[in-house]
Amino acid sequence: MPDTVSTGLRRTSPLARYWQGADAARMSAGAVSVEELPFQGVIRLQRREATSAFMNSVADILGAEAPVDPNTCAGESPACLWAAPNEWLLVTAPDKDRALAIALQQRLDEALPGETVAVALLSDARAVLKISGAAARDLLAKGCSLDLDPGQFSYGKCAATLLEQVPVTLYPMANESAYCLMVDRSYAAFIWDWLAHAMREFGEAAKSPDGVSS
Amino acid sequence: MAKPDHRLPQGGRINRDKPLSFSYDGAVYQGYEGDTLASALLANGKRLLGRSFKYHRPRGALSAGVEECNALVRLESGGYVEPNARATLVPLYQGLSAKSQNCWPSVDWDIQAINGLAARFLPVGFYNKTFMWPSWRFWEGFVRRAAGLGEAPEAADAQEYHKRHAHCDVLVIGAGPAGLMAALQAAGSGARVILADEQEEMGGSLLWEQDEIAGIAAAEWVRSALGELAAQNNVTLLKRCTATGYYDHNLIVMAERVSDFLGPKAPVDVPRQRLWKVRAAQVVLATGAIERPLVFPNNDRPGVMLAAAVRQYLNRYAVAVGQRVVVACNNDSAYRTALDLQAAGVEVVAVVDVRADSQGSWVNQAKSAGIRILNNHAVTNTKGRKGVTAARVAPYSGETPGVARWLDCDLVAMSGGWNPVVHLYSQSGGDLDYVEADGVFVPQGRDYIQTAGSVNGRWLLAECLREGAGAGVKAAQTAGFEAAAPAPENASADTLKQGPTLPVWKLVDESSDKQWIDFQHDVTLSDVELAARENFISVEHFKRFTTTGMSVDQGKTSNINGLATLAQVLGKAIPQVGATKFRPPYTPVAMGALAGPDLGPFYRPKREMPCHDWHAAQQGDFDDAGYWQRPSCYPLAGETRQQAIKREALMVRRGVGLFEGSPLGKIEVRGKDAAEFLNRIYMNNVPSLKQGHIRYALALNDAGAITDDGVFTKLGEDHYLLSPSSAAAERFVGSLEEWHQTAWPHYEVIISPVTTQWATLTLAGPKARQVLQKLDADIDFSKAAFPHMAFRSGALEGVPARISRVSFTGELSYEVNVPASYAEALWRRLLQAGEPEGIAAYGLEALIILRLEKGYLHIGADTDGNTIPDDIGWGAPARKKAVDYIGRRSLDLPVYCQGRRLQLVGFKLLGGRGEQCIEVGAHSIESADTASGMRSTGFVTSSCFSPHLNQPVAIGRIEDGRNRQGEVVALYYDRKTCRAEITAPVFYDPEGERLHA
Repeated sequence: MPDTVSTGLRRTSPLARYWQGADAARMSAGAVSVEELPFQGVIRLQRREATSAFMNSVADILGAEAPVDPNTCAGESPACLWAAPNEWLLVTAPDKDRALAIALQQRLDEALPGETVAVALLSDARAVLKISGAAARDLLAKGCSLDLDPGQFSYGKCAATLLEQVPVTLYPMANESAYCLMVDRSYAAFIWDWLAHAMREFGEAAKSPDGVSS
Repeated sequence: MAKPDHRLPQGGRINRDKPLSFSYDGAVYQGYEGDTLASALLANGKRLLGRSFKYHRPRGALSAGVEECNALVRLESGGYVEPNARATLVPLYQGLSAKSQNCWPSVDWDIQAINGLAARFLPVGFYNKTFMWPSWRFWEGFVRRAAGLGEAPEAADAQEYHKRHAHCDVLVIGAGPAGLMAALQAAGSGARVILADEQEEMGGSLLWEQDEIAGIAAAEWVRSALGELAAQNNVTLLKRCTATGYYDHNLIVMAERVSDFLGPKAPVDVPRQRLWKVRAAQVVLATGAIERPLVFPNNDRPGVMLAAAVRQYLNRYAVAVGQRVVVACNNDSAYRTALDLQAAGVEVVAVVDVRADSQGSWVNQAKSAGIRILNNHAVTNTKGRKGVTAARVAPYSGETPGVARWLDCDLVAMSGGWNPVVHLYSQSGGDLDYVEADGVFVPQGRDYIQTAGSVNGRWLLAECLREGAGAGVKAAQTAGFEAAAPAPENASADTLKQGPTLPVWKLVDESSDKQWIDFQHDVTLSDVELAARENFISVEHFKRFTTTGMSVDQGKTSNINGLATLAQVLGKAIPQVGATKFRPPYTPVAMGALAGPDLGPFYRPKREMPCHDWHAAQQGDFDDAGYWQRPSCYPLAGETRQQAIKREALMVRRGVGLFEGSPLGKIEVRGKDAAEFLNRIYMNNVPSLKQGHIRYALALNDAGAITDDGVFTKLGEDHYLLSPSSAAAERFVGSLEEWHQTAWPHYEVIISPVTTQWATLTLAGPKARQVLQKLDADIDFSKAAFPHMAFRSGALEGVPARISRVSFTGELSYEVNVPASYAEALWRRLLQAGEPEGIAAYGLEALIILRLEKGYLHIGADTDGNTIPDDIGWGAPARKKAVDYIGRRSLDLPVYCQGRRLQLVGFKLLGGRGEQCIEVGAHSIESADTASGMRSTGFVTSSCFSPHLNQPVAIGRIEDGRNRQGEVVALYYDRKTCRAEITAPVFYDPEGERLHA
């Protein structure tokens, strides 16, 4: 598998119908905005047992330790999310995914001969959205039953949960009132449409002299 | 415009600078901002506000709040209709339009009031007993028209409803004195607090009782308390928000009326209502109490009202409902009504008290104020056709001297004591205690709920404030916060004393059918007695037989009177009869609020395939396949669906077609035990498969039934790719994990689903190879290098590709898998490359025809939960496999080895029916002429007209089918029979030459 893809074929986002020319999908209403982070790299790393040899090798490659506490994440690029026992998701910048996946598989196979490690590219299977602004939490709370209060769900935490019946991975982003939302590519347009509908009440048009939207 | 004649010149919480006009039954009236529809109508002298459910008795507002059972109206029109709105809860807005319900031609002249004359013939159970012949169905239409409440709206709701999840440490329900104190204390601890209250304004009774707290007027104290709460960012204040359901683990559902107070003019982007789902560590119920009516003949006339409601209309809305008032009571609180009325200049004719005396503060104040008090007396009847004109007053007990007399009045303010609002507490599973002295049920107490104030039977303000503060502290502490003990509020009410209440359940000894217990459902004292005579002595049976407490108001005023009366009739103590269990919702919730935004496009999630936008641009139909949106066919201009399907099917047989099969499952299984693990999962042999090859496989459940079919590919040493069917893609991952984790955890195996990472574009047809060979690829597509059931990976147009030579159509076919983001570009490239070959897209419908011509199974359609491999011709490999696998041992069960099992066959229709095919679900029978001949011996499971063979083809399962090929059977469907020949279940290319082309 080559490190990069060299093709004349254009990549298409699952939200392509909402793009403006070359600009990825984005929308906002009042104090909340949603933008697509197109073609983010997503890698799933699985091991049967997280031995210290394995954890050390992963730390060597990533430059940071993979989190072992459930529902926590570490690092920035790549961000490393605890996804399940002995399972992590790595989120990278676009086009950094293949090289990292190859490096992980090769170096872990070398370091742990005879043991099974699975590295799967999921970059094309996921859409990644950034939801930000003062009303971001209010917007998510319309379809997500998790307690999103910063006291409970702050930077460094992550969760696999449901947003309007759709499985998503959600984590707060660093130093902003922003959340990163990962959803299966096939549900991306449904979630986008749902968010667009749900966020209308935060917009200017919803403000009335009676201040009902407050 | 009618001039308001019951409005006091000053006072109240209405905004006299903002007059509002509104209409009721077509007439225009005026009210003020801060009014409810009921207060504004009463201010205009309009007291007849409804007709009763069964007898169409004239009714006026009984209450000023949530317990209202009479003043139900229909609001607005078209998409804004709300039936059964309680006028006491409808905030007035400019242009509000309301209509009376359950009356014709008008609320003033209702023709069905004639039912009232026949009341003695229409007791409870009347319907069940009378309308038995010819059947209840026959009568139902007439009865439904005669009895009833509002009519359901006809137009779609024009407004939106949203939902919202929330979490907090302390949820306080009710913002009266106890709730406000609880919220203040809990908030001070730093706990996250939500305070919810159902009214337009927070404050509860403090908004209208003449109380003082800490030296200031109660309403002022409310304002400063709310200011203090609003300033803290750990506090959420939700007014107009009714907690309607209390579910397990402190999940509380609340309905917030976000913009109802603006009516149809609310901004479109603002929801009308919002359903909150709150998860709270601790809950404080400060839900207060509702006043109890007294039961006496003709206690339902307009002008008989709860005493506290009279006080509330007076003090909150500046409306004097009557000018000459008789107060009837059994407790001290009603004396406040007499005092407040007198202070407002309204004549208090008398306070009629069943008790001998009381030394309570308000009673003493009334005595000093010179109010006439008739102790040991009760109101025993009223007069007045559409409103009270006189009340009959008689000695309550035999020892009292005196005679019955009529007192002229236009309003009877009654108080039979107070019922704590224990509904939410009861919903939570909590049990109730009966307090004999007050005749009330109160919460017993649970560790995750605090209750405070009059819900606990505390009737004095000082007690409520103290208890509220204590509950707030305890809730915060239990939720893990440090909360200081509260400083006692200096309530002026602290010096107040109250005399004991005398619970009474009926005021006259005679039985009559005019003593209302449930006003809304027209249940009277005599109905309760009848129920008891007919042995409905369990309180739950009694409720359902009489329908007490089953209407819009859910018995808020009637439940206790009903069960207490039942207890009296049965000669039992009230706790022995007990209370019915309360269930959600506490008050009616709009269906729209429950549905929320989950309608239309958001009814359920949709999944789109990577080339969705291309498919959508073809104007084709999408089928729901699970959550997936899949194109059924692609009609060209001027083409019908049927023509398109036929064209697409023939195109694949003769040339080449392109199909998107992206939902096809893709699961990678890796590890040194992968082959052994999969050998147990599949019925088919796994280890013998060579790298780069593909094998068809069946998966069984542990009962031996086939659950899925698909293929698996050996990608590399210890590395497999499984392709379960699209419908099973996610279920199969779960099944693999379950077996791995529970049965064979020692296997070194990792399961990694990658279904949506890879788009699947299928090229099928004799010219498929020619098209593929035009693309830039490092893969040799020649027949020799890339045979049927082989797998190759490489680069196609520079994109990583996994290509499987498998076929679900019977033609030469390549499933081309590429990362999903390249799919649409590759799709277009393939169509372009195939143009000379006449390529076009084909949809699910054509695929179904193609696979059926070939006799390929659709598990779940052609099989069911009772189908084993032998039934579909896989018996020998299933039995021969040396290694145990899931379902193997069940295949030896007698039921699977004996008798004439249903086996897969084909059906060839005899006798021309044109292009009409055999109906799916048709049963094979001996003969339709005799009952025994009608026994089913099998059925058709899939059927279509084959455009390629130009004949109908079908497959199905029939008893002993494999041995009966060539036999002709009758197929019966919907009273018609056709004849068909049993064949092998394959109609096209039985040798498989085209597959291997």
